Amino acid sequence: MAANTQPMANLASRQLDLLPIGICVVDRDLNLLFWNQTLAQWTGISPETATGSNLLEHYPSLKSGRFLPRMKRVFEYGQPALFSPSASQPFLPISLGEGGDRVMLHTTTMMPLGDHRQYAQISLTDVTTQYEQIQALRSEKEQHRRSQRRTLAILDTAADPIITISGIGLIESYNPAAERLFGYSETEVLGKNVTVLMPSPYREDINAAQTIKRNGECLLDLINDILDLSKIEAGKLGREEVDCSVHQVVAEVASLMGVRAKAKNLPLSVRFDGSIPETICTDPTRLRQILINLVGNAIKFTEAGSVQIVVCLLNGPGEEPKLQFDVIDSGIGIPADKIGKLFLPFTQVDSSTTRKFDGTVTNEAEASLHNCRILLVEDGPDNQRLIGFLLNKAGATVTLADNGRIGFDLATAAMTENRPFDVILMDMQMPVMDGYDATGKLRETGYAGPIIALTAHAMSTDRERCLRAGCDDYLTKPLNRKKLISTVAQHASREEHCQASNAARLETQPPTVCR
Amino acid sequence: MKLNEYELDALTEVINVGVGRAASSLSEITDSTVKLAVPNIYVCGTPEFSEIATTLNLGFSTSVQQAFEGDLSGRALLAFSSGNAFELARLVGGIQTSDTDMDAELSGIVAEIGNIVLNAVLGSIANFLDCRLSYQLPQLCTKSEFSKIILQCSEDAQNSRSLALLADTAITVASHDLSGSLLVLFETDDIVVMLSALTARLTV
Repeated sequence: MAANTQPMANLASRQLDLLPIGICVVDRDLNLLFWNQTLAQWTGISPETATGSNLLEHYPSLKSGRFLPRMKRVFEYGQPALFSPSASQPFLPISLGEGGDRVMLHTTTMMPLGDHRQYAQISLTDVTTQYEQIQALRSEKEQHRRSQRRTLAILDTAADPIITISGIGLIESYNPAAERLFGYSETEVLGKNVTVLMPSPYREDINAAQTIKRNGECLLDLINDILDLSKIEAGKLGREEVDCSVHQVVAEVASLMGVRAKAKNLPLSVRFDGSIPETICTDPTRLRQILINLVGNAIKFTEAGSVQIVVCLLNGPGEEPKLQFDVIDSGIGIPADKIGKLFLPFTQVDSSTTRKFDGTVTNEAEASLHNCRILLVEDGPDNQRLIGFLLNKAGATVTLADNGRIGFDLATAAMTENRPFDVILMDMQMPVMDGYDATGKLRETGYAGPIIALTAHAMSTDRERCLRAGCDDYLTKPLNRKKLISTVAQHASREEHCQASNAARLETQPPTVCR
Repeated sequence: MKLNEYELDALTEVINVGVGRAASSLSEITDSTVKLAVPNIYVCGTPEFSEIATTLNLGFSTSVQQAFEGDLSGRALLAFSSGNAFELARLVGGIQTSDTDMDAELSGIVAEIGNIVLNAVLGSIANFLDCRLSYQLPQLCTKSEFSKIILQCSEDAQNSRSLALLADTAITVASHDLSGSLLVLFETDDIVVMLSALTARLTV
């Protein structure tokens, strides 16, 4: 009995309809013998209409394209043809989207069918989504590369020394201005610890110390700017909105920048035009940062004349009130044709202009640490010297411990003698016993005095880890002198014995080293 | 199996004709002149073949293969170093990107180029040897597939199971110089018969 193959043939045809691939079969003259349901959905041409008609009737564009000669070869030589949407354009112009504004990108293959190459099967695979993802990924990568290039360009052309330092204190980039300042070439310092830039032998040489202080602060400002820059690039720059006083923010900026202005004999004045609200709701940190930048630049690029900050309230009818800040200087100005470039990302009007004006140095008010007894638990000799020196200069007496074990012993001994340290500065990464363990153990024994963590890691998770270990506060290396002194002073003042003890201690007593 | 000099010359000429056809087909789809230099052809088992195969195996990362069967069985591969594959795909597809990673779009273009070149070369072989071939669809090879094929070539050459030919060619697209390698593998019995027939025809 002969098997009835018709049901199977119908089933096979149904299966071809279910595939997410457009399939049709043509003869040598491109007459259509089969047109699956998927193709019908994509093209709007039903299988009934398609079957029996000619492919070129529906898609005359195939005639003029490069497709025809290659399609002919399929029948003549039995060789398959592959058409990628990017090299050959999409085989069939299938519209996509609501308004048909997009064309489906598809890979097409054409294979000979039948013993005598009298038919060919054409298969279309939709790759639109995949290709759109590729485009998005490419443009994302391109943007990333552009921003990297911009950052590098900024580093190269910056008049100020800029050094970027990894979380563990290694130098990652070092620009030509830094090279001029420190006298080391880029190849000499890249990948090395930032301490290579510090004069290594500890001398109470005021000039050397001032150089460290000046460069350190200058660099920290710039590093912070760069960190903000990378936050902006990553779209992660946070903004807070709090009630604050405009007068206070402007006064702080004027007082801070007054030092720089004075150094160049430039009068820096503030004018409030009309009435200004007592408090406004904004991000005072960013406002301060913007004003410092604008005023800083005004001072930097003004050789003679004056710099003025003018604040006025714009209160047009039917509009939300706005505050306008003008920073007016008598400096070199910006050429009219370059003004349009001002708000493009990181465009410098003229990199040669910035080179002519060197970085400036600020001197800020000192906090005092008179009569403070500090235990510095730190294993690095350079950091021992530098931090010891800075604390000493601020008036503190510093006792050094080389690791957490010695630090723990000294702190508990001082407590037993009833003259505990006012503040413990605890490096967190140390041999023998690290800062986390030492702090934990001290807290276990009931030690309640302030412990400030010192770490090279600037991540917020590190901060939490330090606080969890029992530290009261947290400082990151490289240390900012002002921040170091103010943080120590803030915690020391909470300790009443700070005021009670040792009124007669010498200001510049050198640190005692315990090993 | 060793080809005599006459047979090798004949086969080289056949591949040359195919490469010439591939260049004109490529010019059509790229809208710019594509030149393919006359390839140097090496037979598996020679030191030159081993040297090139090793280089290909170590450094080549994008290849397209097309299998064939019929009077002759085997497969043909077109392989490019990643840099050349990327540059070729970028030029042919007119893609503006400074990204150097091969993605699906660029690989798709390389697959199409492979299809055109391999069709031309295999078509030329089929034509000259007067044989009928049926082909599979061209496919991109993974690096490990490619390594396996190269290893198989050497093994087969040692016990005379297949004949592998390697053609190194320089491709110039829109005045950019690139290079690619063509590898054709035939099952020995078939090619011996075919070549004998060809040389018999030519010497008659």
